[in-house]
Amino acid sequence: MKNYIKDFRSTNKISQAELATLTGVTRQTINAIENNKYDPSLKLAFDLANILHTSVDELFVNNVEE
Amino acid sequence: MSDSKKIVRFTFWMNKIWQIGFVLFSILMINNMRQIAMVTILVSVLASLFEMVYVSRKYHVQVFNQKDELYFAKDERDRDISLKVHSALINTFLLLVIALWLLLSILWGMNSLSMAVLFYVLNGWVACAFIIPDIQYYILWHKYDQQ
Repeated sequence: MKNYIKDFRSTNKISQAELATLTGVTRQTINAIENNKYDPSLKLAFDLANILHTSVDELFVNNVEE
Repeated sequence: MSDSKKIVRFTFWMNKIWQIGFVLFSILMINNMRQIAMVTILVSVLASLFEMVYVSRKYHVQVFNQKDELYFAKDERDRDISLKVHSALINTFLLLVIALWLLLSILWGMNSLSMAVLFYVLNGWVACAFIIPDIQYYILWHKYDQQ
C-alpha cells in the first residue's frame, strides 16, 4: 500500500520521532510505514491522518487502484 | 534499532549462557563431576537473574507477573512480528515432540532403551528444545524487523 506520510509530514513540519510519539508507536514503525514495509492497523491509519490534518484515503492509496 | 529488537538480541545471548550452563550441568552430573557441575549451575542461575534484572531496569519490562505474553512488544508492528515468529515456533516445538516420540519408539523397538539411554535422550532433547527455537526466534525476528 502506497502512502504519502512523508509528504504530509514535511508539510506539517513533523519529524518521524514526533509523529511516533503522537501516535504511540516507535519511530521504526513510522519509518517502516513510510517505506511500505508495514501496513498500519485501521486505528493507526486514522490517528496518522488526524495528526497530519488529512484523511485516510488521501494518506494511503491501494496499489491496485493506481 | 527498536527496543524490542535490542531485547531480543540481549536475551538471545543471555539465554545461550544459562541454557548451555544447564546442559553442561546435566552432562557433568551424569559423569559424577559434581563440584564443577555446581559451579556451572550457579553461573547459569546468576546469568538468568542478571538477564531478568537488566531487562526490567534498562527497558522497563516486567518479566514476572505480566498479563501479556508479548510484554516486550512496544507497538502494533512489534506485536505483528511477534505473532509471526511465535507461529513458526509452535511448528518447531511440534516437530521436536514428534522427533522425541519417534526416537523413543525406535529405541524401544530395538530393545536399546535403558534408563541411561533414556536419560541421555531426554537431556539431548531438552538441550535441543532450549537452543533450536531460540536460534529460530533470533533469526526470524531479524528477518521480519529490518528497521
